[in-house]
Amino acid sequence: MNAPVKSLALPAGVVAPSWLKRLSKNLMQSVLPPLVITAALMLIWQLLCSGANAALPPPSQVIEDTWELIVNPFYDNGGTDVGMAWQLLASLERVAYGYALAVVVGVALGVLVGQSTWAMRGLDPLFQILRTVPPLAWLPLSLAGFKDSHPSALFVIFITAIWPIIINTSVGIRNIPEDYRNVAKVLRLNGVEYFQKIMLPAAAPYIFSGLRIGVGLSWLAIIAAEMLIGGVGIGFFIWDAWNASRISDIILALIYVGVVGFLLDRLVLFVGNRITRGTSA
Amino acid sequence: MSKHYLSIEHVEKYFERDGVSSHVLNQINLNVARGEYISIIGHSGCGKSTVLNIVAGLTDSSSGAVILDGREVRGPGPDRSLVFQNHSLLPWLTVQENVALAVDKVFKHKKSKAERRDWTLHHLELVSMGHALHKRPNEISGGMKQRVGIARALAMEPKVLLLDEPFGALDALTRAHLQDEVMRIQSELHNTVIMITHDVDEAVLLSDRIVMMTNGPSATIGEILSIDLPRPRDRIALADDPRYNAYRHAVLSFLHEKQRKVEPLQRRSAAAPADPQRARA
Amino acid sequence: MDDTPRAADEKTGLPRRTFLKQSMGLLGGGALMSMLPAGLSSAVWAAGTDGLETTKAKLGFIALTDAAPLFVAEELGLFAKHGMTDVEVLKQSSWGTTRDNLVLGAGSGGIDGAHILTPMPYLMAAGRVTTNNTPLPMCILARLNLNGQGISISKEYADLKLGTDASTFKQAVAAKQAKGQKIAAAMTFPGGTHDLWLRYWMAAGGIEPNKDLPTVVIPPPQMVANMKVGSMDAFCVGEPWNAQLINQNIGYSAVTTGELWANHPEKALSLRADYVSANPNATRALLKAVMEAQMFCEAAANKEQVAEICAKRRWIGAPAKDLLARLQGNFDYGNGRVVENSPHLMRFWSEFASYPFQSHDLWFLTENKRWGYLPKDFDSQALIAKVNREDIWRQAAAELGVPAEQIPQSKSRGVETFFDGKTFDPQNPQAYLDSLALKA
Repeated sequence: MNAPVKSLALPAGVVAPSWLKRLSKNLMQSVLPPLVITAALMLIWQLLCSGANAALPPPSQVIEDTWELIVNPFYDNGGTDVGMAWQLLASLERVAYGYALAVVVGVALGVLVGQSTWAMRGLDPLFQILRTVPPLAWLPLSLAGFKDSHPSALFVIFITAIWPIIINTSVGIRNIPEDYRNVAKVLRLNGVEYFQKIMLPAAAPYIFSGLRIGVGLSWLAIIAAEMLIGGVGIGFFIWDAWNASRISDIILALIYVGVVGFLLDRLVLFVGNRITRGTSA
Repeated sequence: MSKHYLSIEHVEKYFERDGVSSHVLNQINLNVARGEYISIIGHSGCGKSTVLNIVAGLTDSSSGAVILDGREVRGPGPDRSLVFQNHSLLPWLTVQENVALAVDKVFKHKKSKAERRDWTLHHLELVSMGHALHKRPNEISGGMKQRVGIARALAMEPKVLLLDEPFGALDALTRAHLQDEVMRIQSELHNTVIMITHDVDEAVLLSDRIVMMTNGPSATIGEILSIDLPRPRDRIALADDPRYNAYRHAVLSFLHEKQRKVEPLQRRSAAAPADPQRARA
Repeated sequence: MDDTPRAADEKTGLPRRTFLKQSMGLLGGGALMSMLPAGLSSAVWAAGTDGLETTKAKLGFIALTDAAPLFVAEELGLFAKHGMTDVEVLKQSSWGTTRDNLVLGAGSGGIDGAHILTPMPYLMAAGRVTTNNTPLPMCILARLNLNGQGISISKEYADLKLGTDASTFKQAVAAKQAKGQKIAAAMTFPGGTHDLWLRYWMAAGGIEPNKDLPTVVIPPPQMVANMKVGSMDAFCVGEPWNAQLINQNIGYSAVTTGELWANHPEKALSLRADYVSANPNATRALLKAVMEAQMFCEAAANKEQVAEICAKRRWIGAPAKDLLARLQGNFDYGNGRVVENSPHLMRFWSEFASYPFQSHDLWFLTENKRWGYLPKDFDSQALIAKVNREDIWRQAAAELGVPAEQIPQSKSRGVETFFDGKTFDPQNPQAYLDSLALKA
């Protein structure tokens, strides 16, 4: 089906398995170019910041300062002084709870708003206003409301991630082509069957694009919230490093934050593609 | 109780929009015998799809009734299955799953799981799609998609098979293939079929009777033409057949001379004055 | 009895049995009973400190050098030594968060007590800084340190060579403002210690806070960052920030706050009142651990180790060299002025540094009235009687066997004198207020 991959030169008689061919092709096309560009940018950064009065430390300095953090991601010196892996995992755990809740409630509300014109008229203006509130602004309110810092942090994630999920879900529900609805009518599918077999799968691509946006926002929100709340977590790590003027630590943390955010996005994309079987919105 | 299998009696349809009522269908009366193949033909906007939708139960008539096998039609159902112009296959299901969706719903309590599976496969074989069971709709051609649509409609064991311009979106060659398929299937199954079409040749080739509608608004049945051509019908042989050409002539004449539809640039004019044609049962 | 803790490389705690034997020796029963203020339940003395109501406590701190006693208490296992085996010492992200976490309490994901600016527990107990103005009863158990804060000036005013006299600063910032540029002075919490030092220093030089120079609340790293870009003219904050500023060549120290008021009180160890009343033994255990840590931090021989501890990422995370010099009393002011063995170094135990004088609390409250953070008719004495628990400190000191000369005779330190000659007589706070030219 595909053109033969030319990237492998093997000894005569040896046939590379197709998965290996695909892997090497992927590496050449997707991994190599960004690596090259990143290396080039690091070089430029190194050159620009090598002087004595540089505003930022150059990569060599960053690596030197943070070497302990890089090679030992699982150390535990008590309190908030734990390895980067623990910091990231702590933040991810909060994201997991808050995001999961946002998914459940968001999809449910999105279906409601998508299905019911009345609900849409009533709730949509409210959603549009609330979604513009920055995540951190919710924190004092939620602290006052919950009187406990743990659910407050989760609430901040929840309230940040839920809007794109609701809005995208409702659009997906409202945009189910009439033909599918007619098929459902001819087949006399009942409400549950319609929901399961037609509505959700048809809206799935929209739902998943909402979920993707939501997961990115969750990650942003928790970093910001942790800066205020404290405790183990990458957000507080960054805040603490800022407090102590440890710029290299901040740079390292930012790289990790970016990579994890990217991975989260890809994860949702991957799951979405599997579930919607490639039917895109 | 009508002695006919399907009878459309005194059906009228008004559409309301912005307080203005438009009279789309006026006194539609039609009787269809069991196993008959009826084509409905007319200019666009004459309400043919509306007639089909009323028979399908997707739209209610403003007055009048549709009686099928002694029972009044209320709402859609698998006994009047539809083949849509846009195949309306569910893109997240494979070919087999699309048909199985219908089969599993309609025959949930009447056939066992194995029987339903065989039933599904049988119908896909019938439309020559047995080789593509696990493909998704985005992986097959338009013609194939339409075949699957027909398989799905047939698999519901309908009392009446409704085809809404089923080949309109296909190229001429594919159309021809599918017309032959339909004729072949019809010769096996002897379904009662109502087909909407724009294509005069198609109408004459496939139908037992052609119902010609006047222009809208207040469209009604203008003439009904019986096609007395022996089956099986071979399009190539019929190309030179004088009876075939006479029928063609009659239909064309109705459409383009008696029911000339002129659309001026500024406004839609009122329909050309219709001859006081009365439906002949 | 020499109870000074030895330096240790790992956290060790004495086994409880040895500890009990020790404490039995300390208590001596009846003699101590008479030192108990009325109201403490006698159940306290059931079996000395074996009756700890809880071994858990969550204490918050801000990453400043004056929280060192808490770090040392944790690192040297002093909490565990006194039976408090589940103490968590948790870094807070700001004074505001400290306050919020105290309001929440440990049961709701917050904290039981904290290293805190001395005025804050009062403001919280009076309901002045809490949500819905709900008062939160607090107790001050000890002073954590004297001195050790600094007023730093941006290097654009290097030529002014500012010291305790701020009068030339007034013209300079006025001139800058006349050029259309923004001026600002930063501190850490309205009504807190840094705010009060900054205002006192400015007012003594004739600068009216807010009118002549706006004072704003800003987190310490942002103070430094702002000064770097020229949008911060002065700030008052604790060490190691003032030293870091000099090391990064952004500004210089005008004063170390001891120069404004010799041996002034600074941070306190404060706990929620409900924790204290529910867990009197545990409270004393915590306090004893902190007091021993304060003794450790005071000893000159230990300063290097203290700096090393503070430098850990978990505690302050700044380089030890930024911390050590000023801890030892060697001040490089960053503008050429260098003072070795300054008398104004941060004190943790000497000069009664740990004892929470009620007269000092009165000064903070009076000064808060000066600037309008508290109403003029506010009943300071009544609140001091509730919040200040010097009685618990005395009990703890007795249990530790602190020599009598290290325990103050009186609850008041008497008349205080400031660098500009003003005096504060705790018997007559109003006279002090009247003597001040600039106030709210």
